[in-house]
Amino acid sequence: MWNLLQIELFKISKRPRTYIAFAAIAAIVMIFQFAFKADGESYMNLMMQNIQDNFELDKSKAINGYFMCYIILNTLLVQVPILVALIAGDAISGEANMGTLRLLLTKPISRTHLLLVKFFASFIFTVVLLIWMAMIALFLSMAIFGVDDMLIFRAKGEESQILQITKDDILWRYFAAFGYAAIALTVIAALSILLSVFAENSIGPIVATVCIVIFFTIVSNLNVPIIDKNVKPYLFTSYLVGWKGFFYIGINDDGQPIKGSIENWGAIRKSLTILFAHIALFLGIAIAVFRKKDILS
Amino acid sequence: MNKILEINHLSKKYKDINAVDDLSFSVNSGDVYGFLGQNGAGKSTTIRMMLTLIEPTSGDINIFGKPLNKNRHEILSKIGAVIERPDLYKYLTAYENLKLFAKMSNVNVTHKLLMDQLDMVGLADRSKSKVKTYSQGMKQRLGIGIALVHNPDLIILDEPTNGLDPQGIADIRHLILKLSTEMGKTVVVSSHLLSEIELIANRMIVIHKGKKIVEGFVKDLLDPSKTLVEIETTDNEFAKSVLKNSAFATMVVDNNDKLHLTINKIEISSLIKFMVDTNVQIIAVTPRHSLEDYFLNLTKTA
Repeated sequence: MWNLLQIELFKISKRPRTYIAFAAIAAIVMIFQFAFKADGESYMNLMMQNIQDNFELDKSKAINGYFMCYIILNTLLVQVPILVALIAGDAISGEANMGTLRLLLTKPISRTHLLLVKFFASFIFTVVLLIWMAMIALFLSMAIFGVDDMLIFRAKGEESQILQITKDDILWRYFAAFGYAAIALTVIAALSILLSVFAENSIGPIVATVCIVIFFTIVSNLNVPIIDKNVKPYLFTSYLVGWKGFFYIGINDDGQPIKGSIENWGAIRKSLTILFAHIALFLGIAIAVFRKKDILS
Repeated sequence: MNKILEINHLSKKYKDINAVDDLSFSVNSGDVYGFLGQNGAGKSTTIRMMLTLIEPTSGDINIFGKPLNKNRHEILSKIGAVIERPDLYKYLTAYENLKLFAKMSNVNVTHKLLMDQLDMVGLADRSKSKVKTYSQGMKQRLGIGIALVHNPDLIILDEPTNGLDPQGIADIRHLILKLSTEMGKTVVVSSHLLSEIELIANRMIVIHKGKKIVEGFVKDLLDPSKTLVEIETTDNEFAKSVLKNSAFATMVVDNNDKLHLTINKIEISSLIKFMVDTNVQIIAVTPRHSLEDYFLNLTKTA
């Protein structure tokens, strides 16, 4: 299986489309960095217009590398699923489209192994993509904007809240958040691979994955009580932004942040469990279908 | 003879269509076995079932004396196959494609092995070119190189000459004959062209609408004593009357604007001489095997 995985990663590394994702992320991040370097205070004014009367803040210090990375992640982690779908959605259907699937399956490898290898290769691609994102969104931002305490703007119910995390308590939260994002994006990869099993061209699964993610995200953001209770808990999109939980710092009885704490560990654990369950479900169905599928391409 | 491949009562049904219908045949060690049928006869479906790409509706496939469904991994490691077009990774070079598939076949890959293989199929000098720059014939040869890289005992080629120019067809034919005569491989080769099979196979099967029509040794099925000759003249009525008073009389059949005779192949020159001597103005005399005619009759009724 390791041999097969090496082959799969070699193929991914040789395809020009692989590098589209890296170039797209770099371009978007750098546009953000340029915009905030040029006129970040306008953004801060907009964010703080409801609370600036009773909150004193040095805005030039608030825009720092940590804060920039948080803003970028907030935006990019909605777009990255599309980039993951570009690779994972092509996994089986791309081989069928090229006509290589029938050649692959005449080799002494099991269909289950092949599908699992495709999944692990997509997972590795996702992790590498996130490492790339961390390098330019976090470390490059730290180099450009410097480091300081970080402010988090949070909508909690009908209230707005500002959380402050000291600069020596942030980096580990980013590593945890990127780890969480890797799991969340792996759900997208598993969904894409499942859809890929049914198709014989790459476009179908990629478009279908994006449509499903958009549709579920819209449903996840609807504030309708019956949907809140009966639908949202079962949609994986409700948990894609769960990485933010690592930045919701615990508050003591005096209203002061507790260094190294997280407000709701239980919610993060529950989110991760549901994401893993979705990965297992999508992969399980994909394997069951692929094992029995007649290869007619 | 040691049976390498045995197929018993194999069927594949898609809804109401029987793509393969109760098909049975066997291939012996060392055979070049021709698998003949029109397009859509069920050849590719049968071959795909032999390679586990399609699951049979019913029936058994035994290869190397073992049931395929229970020994897939072991059996496939001893088979090399090219199915229809040899589609490969176009963004990789020939060398990279070969290396990748050799690794999948659990071969101890060395540079020498890969270059020898590319040399055998005449692609050593283009080993570093991306496959997207290859002609159809070169892709076909690379596909065969990939099929052979793990030194398989059984080679299955599905329509290997499709889309090739005459030189490409001749190259593939010579390669198949080399595999059989020099390397002692067993080859199953499908085609819709009897003339192709006739030139390379020692045994063959003809299938139509998923069913076996005939199976046997090529030399028996293409019996020269039953060669069908098609005659076209400037005056077929005159030719017919002349031939009816000759030694060929009992064999003459009038078929639209042509005359058909079934005679021994060695008598064709005598027939032509007789017609010339009796002033029959010949336009064409075309010998065809009786099996080919039979095959074409099936096509007409399909």
